[in-house]
Amino acid sequence: MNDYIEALGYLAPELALTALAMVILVWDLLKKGRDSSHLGYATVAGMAVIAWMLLGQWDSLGDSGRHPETILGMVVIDRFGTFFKLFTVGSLAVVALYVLFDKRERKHGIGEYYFLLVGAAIGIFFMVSTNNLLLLMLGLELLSLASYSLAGFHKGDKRSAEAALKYIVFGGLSAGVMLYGISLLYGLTGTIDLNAMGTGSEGVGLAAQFATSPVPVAVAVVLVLAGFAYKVSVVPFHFWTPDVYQGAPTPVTTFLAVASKAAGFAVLLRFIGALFMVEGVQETVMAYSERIGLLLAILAAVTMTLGNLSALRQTNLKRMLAYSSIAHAGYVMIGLAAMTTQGFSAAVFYLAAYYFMNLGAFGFLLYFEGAAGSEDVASLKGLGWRYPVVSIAMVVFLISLTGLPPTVGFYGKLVLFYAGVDAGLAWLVVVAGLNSALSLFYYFRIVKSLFLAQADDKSGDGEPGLGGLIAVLSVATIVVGLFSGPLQRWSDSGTESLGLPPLEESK
Amino acid sequence: MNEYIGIAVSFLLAGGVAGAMVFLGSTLGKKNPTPEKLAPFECGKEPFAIPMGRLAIKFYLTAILFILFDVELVFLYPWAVVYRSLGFLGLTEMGIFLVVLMVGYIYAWRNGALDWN
Repeated sequence: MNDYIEALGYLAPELALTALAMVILVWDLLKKGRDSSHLGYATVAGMAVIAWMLLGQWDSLGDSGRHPETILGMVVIDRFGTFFKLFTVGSLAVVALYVLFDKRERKHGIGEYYFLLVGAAIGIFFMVSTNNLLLLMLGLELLSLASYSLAGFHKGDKRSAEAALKYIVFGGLSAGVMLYGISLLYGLTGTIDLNAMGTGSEGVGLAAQFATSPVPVAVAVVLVLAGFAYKVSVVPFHFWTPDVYQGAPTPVTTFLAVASKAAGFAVLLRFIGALFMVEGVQETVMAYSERIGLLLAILAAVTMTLGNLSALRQTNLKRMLAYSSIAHAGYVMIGLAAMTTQGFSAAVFYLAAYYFMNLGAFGFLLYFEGAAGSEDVASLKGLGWRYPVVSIAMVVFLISLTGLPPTVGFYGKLVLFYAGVDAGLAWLVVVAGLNSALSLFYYFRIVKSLFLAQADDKSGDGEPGLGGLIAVLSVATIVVGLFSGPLQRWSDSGTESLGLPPLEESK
Repeated sequence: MNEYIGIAVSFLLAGGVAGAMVFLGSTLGKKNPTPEKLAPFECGKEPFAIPMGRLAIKFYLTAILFILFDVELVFLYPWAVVYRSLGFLGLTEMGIFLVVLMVGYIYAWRNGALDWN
């Protein structure tokens, strides 16, 4: 029994998150008053406490960055997971603040809003810290179910309902495909533990199967990859993204674009790392990593090109950002396709960079929806002079999204491209470079509209608190870009804790 | 792989025969539509209701609640069997489980899901 309680100690952040979710739900029921802003503040405070717990956990992990045992046979405590948990906690806090600042949200009874957000975070926490496919699937589904209801949160709004329906249909299908892949993997290897699959040799594990029947294994791996590709909206599983991002309430879109996408990538990195790259993986399995890398590289090239080309034609800012998030998924895939520790670390770093700039860009969208009452790029015109602080902040985010210095987006792209070239994917890096140039056109259409046009005096007031938060995020985008050392070390140490071959010091 | 070829062949045969029948029937057959032939057939009577019928939405809500709590109940049965060997630890675990379940129940109650009217 003492072992049991000790094990629960490692799960303290997850337990705290669960307790927070329950408290929010019950508190909302007790008050029944329609003002639920205190729940938002409770969520933010809860996130601070959990972030503190996670930081303690980060420090307590030794040189390997990994707890030697698997907690309760399922949960892996390592810096990789903790990195993404911190990431989730941070974006959830910002999203909760966005909900608080969202003027249009006040007419709804929104206690459940925070409850569902925290519920989604519980799902993310479990899915990023397990090697067990069953728990992974469970976490993924918990995240998905909460996301479906969040996407349809504006019950009377047709677009929101459409978003929820499309999301649930696509999500259900891809979960089914993925489960089928998992069941095949289990049938072939006799285990649902990723590490055992990669390293097992006699009878169990992929090595034995690759020797006798490579085709079913390849089918199973591709099916599972399809499930992840849906979660991170990689072409050809991206069709839901624009409609869902556009229809969902803006804070929810922010959550989907930042936290949910990063979690999908975290699982994808862990999956590919554990199966093909971890130390101790059998030679026969390792031999396939090049093919998987090529598959991912092709997907990356197609994803970023299609995302950027579609974004060019958008007139609606929210939809444009949705396509831009597809394109960015393509950039992150470069790091995956490299199939090296350096590439993985670059992908993790880029996701963290993406956190700052994308939270900011969606925050601007929210601010602007409140002020101008529309989502069209055309109706932005001249607002740059009216709301200078927020608009300049947006320019910073757009510079960062394009990947120009001195922002964190520039540094993120640099490490990604560097890792890509090192892994012999120069062609992919060229494609990505051309894509960045392409993205300049639509990002700067926003800037042009903000500053190079006359305003027509229809807009109302913005939300000052929200403006302040956006300004802080834009400062962070620049500061982290200039002093990227600590973040770089964090993502390196997180990636190494997966058990990948260590990075060379000379880099 | 070879032992599966039989399945593929039977799939092809089944698909081919069924497809050929539909195709031949629609191309070779005579077509002489009259209004009576095109009318929906329901034992000579005009259809007077949507076949599926319409259900009040409250049945749906009740059914969902039933499924939820019914599935949760499944977890109580195994516990009852091994109650003694799990001891205090099991009691605490199930207590926590039931508290979580109870929160959901209160949520449904407070939001009027159990209110028939």
